[in-house]
Amino acid sequence: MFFFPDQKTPVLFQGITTIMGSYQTEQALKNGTNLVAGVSHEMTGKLGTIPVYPTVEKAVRAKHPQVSVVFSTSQNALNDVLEAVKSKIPLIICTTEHVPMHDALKMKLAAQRAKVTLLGPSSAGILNVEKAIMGTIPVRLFKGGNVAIIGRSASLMFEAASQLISLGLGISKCVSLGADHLIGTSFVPVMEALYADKSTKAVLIVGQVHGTLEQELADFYKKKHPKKLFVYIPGKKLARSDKTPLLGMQSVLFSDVIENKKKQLLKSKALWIESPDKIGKTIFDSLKGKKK
Amino acid sequence: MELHEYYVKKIFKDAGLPVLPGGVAYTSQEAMAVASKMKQGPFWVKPQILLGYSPEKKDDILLKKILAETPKDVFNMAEKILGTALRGYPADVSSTIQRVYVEQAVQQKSLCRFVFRVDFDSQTYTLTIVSDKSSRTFYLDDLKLTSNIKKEIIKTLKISNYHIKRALESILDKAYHLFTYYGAVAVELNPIVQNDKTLVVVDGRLVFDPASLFRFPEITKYQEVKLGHEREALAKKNSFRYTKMGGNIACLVNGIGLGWATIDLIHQKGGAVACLLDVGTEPTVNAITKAVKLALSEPNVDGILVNIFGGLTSCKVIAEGLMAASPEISTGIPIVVRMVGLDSEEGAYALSHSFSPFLVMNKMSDSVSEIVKQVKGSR
Repeated sequence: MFFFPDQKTPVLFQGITTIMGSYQTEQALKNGTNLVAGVSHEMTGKLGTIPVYPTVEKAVRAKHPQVSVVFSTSQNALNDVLEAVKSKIPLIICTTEHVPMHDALKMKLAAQRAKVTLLGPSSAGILNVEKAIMGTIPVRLFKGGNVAIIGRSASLMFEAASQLISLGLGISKCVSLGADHLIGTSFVPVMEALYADKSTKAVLIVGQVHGTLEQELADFYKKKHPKKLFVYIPGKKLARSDKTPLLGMQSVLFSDVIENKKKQLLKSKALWIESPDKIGKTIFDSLKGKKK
Repeated sequence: MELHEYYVKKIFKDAGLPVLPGGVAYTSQEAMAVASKMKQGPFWVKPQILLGYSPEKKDDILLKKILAETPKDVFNMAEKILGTALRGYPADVSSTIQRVYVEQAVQQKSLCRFVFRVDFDSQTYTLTIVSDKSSRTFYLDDLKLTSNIKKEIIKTLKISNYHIKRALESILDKAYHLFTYYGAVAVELNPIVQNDKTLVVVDGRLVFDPASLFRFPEITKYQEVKLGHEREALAKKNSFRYTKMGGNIACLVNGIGLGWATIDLIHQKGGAVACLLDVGTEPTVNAITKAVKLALSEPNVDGILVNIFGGLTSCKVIAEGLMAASPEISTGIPIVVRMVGLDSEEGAYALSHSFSPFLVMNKMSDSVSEIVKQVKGSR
């Protein structure tokens, strides 16, 4: 089950001695994350004050982390995630980019079977604003508030957050699912957790043309919509279809795919954002209108 | 980057798939020799060329496989094809056909075609099998090709002959092995024909996942740049992504989501994007410089919009990269730079004090309006 780790949740960093891993260790310690251990293929001992273990199993035995953030290289990502799955860490966040597709599917299957949650690969992680950071989301861009953001491509989520903040709104949670085609967690489980989150009033989804995660979300939101839901999906002007389609596949236009997703989401009472420069404004106007 | 058919056939053959006898030839003499070694005609002569963007006018004769009855005919066909350039490509692109693949021809009709692929919608492996009468997709939920699925396929295709059954099962197993061994996006065998009591794989595709190729350096060695994809290849070499579009504004971004959103906005405001240059989350100075130079080298680019959201990306690095490309920016092409986030003040300061005419702006919508306006006057 997906959950929001906070400043008390014990966290493990795998690949803690990679460039990204050690940089994010600094950020995590500065921003309240309860980082209890690291795992590295290169060294054991201590990184600053954080004990570093050679295997996840040893780290788990010593420190009982509830979350593991994987900063491994794309070569090591599969094995490192499988190690975390084997140790039954309930929430695994894989930040690695360019993970081979078959590796991503193997991670997903292993996590499903072990009943643990895999976020990513290619996830920028989870930011529980003003509480804890788990991943590569830059904390300094954020300010506390009551809008949650769940998205695929991280760059666009940051853009959206900055638009909201410049209008005086703030962010409660920010969750990056990853921009890759194959990812462990879809919008729905995160949305479910947000329904129970008192600090969140509205949710912004930054979607993607590929896949069917938005349709799945529309079905979920149709049944129960206690929080406002805003959706923006980039790519409708790309006027592109996929390359030479393989046997049994149809070539579809991106604009048609997005139009389809829009229709379903609107039917489920979600609010659609047409233009990327109006993300902040649309949400601001809607939330302000509600207060009146 | 892709593999020529003759190399894909070699991979198929090495994997134990029943392909037709054939060989690659660089000269007409070689082509005839390949044909002479086979028992009898007819033969196919197939030009080996990797088409990326195809030109407006298609040289159909140079792209199709050609049937030849005798080795002498093979020689004549090869003579015609080799050294000929495809029409419609710019002069700096070498579109000369340098190789042909000579293969035993078969004329039986197709029994079936199938493809193993990574399916993004169902998020698992799928196997789609198509025949004249039916088309079915199987979901390999456990990432395994089970004997049940194989039995279902035989049933669907209504195959009763024992030898053909066994042959098809073997082809499925071997294709599946290729698919998982290479971590391929797709393996397509199309078509499979029946030749007496055996099956033959006539054609096929092997679509690699670029992310898994670090495991197969030998494949990378044989991959060649597709015709018309020279810019993509240059970009890849310098660690950024290039996507050709059709308009006149080059768009440099750090992240695909931001890139697509920027394209949406440019088109919404009446502009048209020439190409998208995505330098990713942690670009180097070199990648940015090379990306700008690539944009400037495109004849149809009238302006550049740089849209950077500095999450992990330092705007100082962006500014440095842009300034290093300055010597090339003498053409009066407007460059609008929108940078926010990490080190944006330092970056903006550096750019506004450089000699090149970078117009630095803060808001995405303003910067898009500005580049669209500036470019409108230029043609």
